[in-house]
Amino acid sequence: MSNIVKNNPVVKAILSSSRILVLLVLVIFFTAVTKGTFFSYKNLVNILYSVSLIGIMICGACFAVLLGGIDRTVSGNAALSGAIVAMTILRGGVGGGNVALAICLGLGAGILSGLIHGLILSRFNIPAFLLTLATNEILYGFVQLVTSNTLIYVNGCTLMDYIGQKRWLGIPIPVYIMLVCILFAYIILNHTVYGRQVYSVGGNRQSSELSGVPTRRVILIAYIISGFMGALAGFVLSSMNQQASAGQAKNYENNVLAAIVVGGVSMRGGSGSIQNAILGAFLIGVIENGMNLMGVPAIYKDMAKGIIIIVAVAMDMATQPGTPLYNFMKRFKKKAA
Amino acid sequence: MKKLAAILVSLLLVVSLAACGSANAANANNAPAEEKTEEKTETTPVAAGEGLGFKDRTKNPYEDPMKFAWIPTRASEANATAWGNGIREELSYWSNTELNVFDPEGDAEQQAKIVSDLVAQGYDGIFLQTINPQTLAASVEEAENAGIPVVCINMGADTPHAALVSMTDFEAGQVIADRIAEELGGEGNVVVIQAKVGAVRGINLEDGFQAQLKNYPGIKILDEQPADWNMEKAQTVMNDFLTAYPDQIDAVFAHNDQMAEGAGMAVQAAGKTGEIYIWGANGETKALEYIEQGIITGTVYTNCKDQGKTAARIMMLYLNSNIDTSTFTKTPVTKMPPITVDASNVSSITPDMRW
Repeated sequence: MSNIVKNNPVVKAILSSSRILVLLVLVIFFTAVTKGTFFSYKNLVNILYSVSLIGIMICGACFAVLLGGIDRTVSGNAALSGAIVAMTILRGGVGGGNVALAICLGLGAGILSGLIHGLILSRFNIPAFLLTLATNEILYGFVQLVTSNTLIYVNGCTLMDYIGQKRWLGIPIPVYIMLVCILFAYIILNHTVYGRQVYSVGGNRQSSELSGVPTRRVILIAYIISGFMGALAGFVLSSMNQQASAGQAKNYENNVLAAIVVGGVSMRGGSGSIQNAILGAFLIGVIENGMNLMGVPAIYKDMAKGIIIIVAVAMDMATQPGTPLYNFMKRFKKKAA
Repeated sequence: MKKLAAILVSLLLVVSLAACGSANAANANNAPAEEKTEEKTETTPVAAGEGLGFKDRTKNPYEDPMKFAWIPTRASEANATAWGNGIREELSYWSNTELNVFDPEGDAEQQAKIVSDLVAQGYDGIFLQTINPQTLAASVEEAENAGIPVVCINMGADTPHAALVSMTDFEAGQVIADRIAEELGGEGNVVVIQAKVGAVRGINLEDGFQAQLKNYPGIKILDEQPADWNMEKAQTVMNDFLTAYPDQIDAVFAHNDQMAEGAGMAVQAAGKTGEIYIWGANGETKALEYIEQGIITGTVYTNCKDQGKTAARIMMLYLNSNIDTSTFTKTPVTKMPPITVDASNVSSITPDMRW
């Protein structure tokens, strides 16, 4: 009987990742404290909605991190894309053709930004952190130029109203967009040659190059995907807010990277998965939502969030052979025995 | 063993850092109290001969080349743009003037550095929305001592300077409390969507709101959470409020319009538009449109463009006088009239007044 339980794939998954375990414990705890409100359909939808933007960005930024790089421009791309879409609609009206043009321009800006970053990073040995830290500022400079530092309101655009306000089965549209993005990233990373190349280049660029992997192209495509996802998130954000501003999505890159790291994706590249990165985002989303429902005062929230994240990551490291924490725990257990 | 020691040392460091952080937060919380006392005493006129000095200015501000700077807390915010536009519009009547905008991006030390740099560059006047009154005190004093009047908008520095042109915040909080109490008939539950923790304007609005609510014992604050002035965060916070307190919330007070709009959208998505009163503050264009559409209830409107123009006029007045503003012992404050706007009078805010 115990074997049947142990061999159950769900039980296996839970036991294999302590992040899922922590998530489960948190869900049970918040459900108990809020007398079931936390686990209601409506609230779970709220959590999904609250992580949808970050989730879309992760689906792009994760590629860069898996390659051992980093893309801090997801927020800049989002802001620029949102601003371009809003400005084009403001200038050209809410007609179908113009809206299509606006979206093409917005997403195109993200792709172009990704292309430039990919070209530079694949050809020159510049630290990705440094480059994208600087270019994110440049992108925000462009956003200020596009918006002239004013709020750009979008009124009466059917598509943006639809994305920002409509629901299917009680679930907001941005959640579906996130799910499609996750599916896209999952398939690319796990079921294509390109996905295997990403892990290979992230693990060891030199040996991948020697074994014939087109490393430059792999890096280039990764940053294009990242740029596109950032821009898509920006369009969704502008639809949610029915506006674009010059400071939109600022500092979102920190939340995106935090979620990716909490999800156990190695910053050195080559290991981790999109599902775990998204799990990281959910973990943070669940903590924030749960504490909101409990009415925890704001001053304690950041502290509690930090502690729970450290516990989740530490538990994970303690169960992974090879990590210092694992070795420490092993020695500790031996001594105790 | 060494590793263990290293871990312990780093933990100690983290704890001490956290302690420093909370000390800073405490300082920030003290700020509004000082601000308010300053505002209350400001009605007593400055007695002639008591600290007020005079000096001859060599430049004619309406003819000689004049260089001005506008340093908001964050150039990308809607009201910063509106103030900047107001200043620019007023100054543009005089072709000898030039206005440059600087963006410290919410960083008080950076803002202080910009002010010091501008003093060194010999600017003729500085328009400033301080991020933190204490941090900016030294550099504002430096500017005043160098004969450069500093006219602050909305947030002054903790040192006497030429003038402060301010929106109301404590009073706006009071007005909103009164209006919510009136709408609820003195009985009901309110949730508050707060500004970024430590933001002085948010603290003052909240203080005014809380102080006035003491007159209405039937009104209870169910919960308060910050959404950092941010629309999408406010939407998430409001969603969580609606889940945590189903059918209990009667009214929402958001510390700015962006957050009120976010709350309005969450309430709309929950199908409760019109059932919950939602109040914001500032009076930006979109909030006025949302009031017209019935998505939010009301806001306390300030004509930010006019506020910028007022600041510019005060600046020109000083520069064309022989008043030495560095000898002031307290900052003269002028307040912009707050207009409480709801569906009944929103049309009185004409397009040219919207920002």
